[in-house]
Amino acid sequence: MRTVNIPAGTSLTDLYREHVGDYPKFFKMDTACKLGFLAAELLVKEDPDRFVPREDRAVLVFSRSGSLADDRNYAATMEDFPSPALFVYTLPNTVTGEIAIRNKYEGETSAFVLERFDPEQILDQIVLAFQDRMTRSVLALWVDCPSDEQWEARGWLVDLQDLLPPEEHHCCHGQGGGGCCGRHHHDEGGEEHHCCGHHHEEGGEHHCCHGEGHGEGEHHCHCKENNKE
Amino acid sequence: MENLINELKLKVIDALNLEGMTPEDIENDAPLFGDEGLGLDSIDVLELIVLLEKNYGIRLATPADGKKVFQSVAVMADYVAANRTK
Repeated sequence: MRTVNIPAGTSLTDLYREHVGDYPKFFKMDTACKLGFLAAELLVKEDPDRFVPREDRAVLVFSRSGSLADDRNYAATMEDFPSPALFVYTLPNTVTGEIAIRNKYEGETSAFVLERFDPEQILDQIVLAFQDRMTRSVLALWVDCPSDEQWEARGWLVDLQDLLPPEEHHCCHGQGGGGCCGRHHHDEGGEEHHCCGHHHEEGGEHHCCHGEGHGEGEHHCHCKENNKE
Repeated sequence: MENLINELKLKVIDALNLEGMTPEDIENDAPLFGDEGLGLDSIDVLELIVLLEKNYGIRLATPADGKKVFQSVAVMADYVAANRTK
């Protein structure tokens, strides 16, 4: 898991110039989007295959203030000429959109407004995001921006394996001893094994299924540690 | 006309938050939208429509008119010179 924190008082423009520099749209963003964008950049900049479209990374953004700062800024322009550029940011989920567009993420995106910074609630949502069988990585951000001057931002990049105990990754098939890691296909000894991804622990055993899809009968496999059928 | 072109470039840079860009970076005849030129988008069109009304008293009837008016800064300047009310 990777983490990032952008301390209050940081110059966002300086941070952009130091770590990004090639995305002029940054300057059109509202403060919340700049924060979310920069936090995401710092978390994923070392990713291999950066900018290759992917559906398996979800983007979750949490805040207390939602788009309150933008709502106020936009309301102020309504006395004269309402600003279209401000109006488009008067939704809490615009942060997720900016990140998804930049990185070509095509998976789940969600924005949550919480009563306060609540790590347990954030973790719950991260875990829930993995339940769709497509998501294998979650970019989660706390981006709270009650005003353009007062804000906080922190983020976490969580991969599925970060949440699984290591011993649940390795189980052995009852027949042939092929490796099974929960979601990956393995071709060992000319036979492809497909694990269904559901590791229900039943008396120490884990279910996974063989062959193409789930149609060729279910087999029990279990932890190497236990080594029992 | 050259003064109006430079004035428009400054106002476009300011209205669209094109930070780090100077009037010299914008060619008079370069397209404002699309992959070439400034690469502005549909929200920017709306912002430019506001710019014309606020600064020059010009009201475009529809955003579609913006396609013709906002072809380039030079075209924009011609339109402003011919239609401004302030």
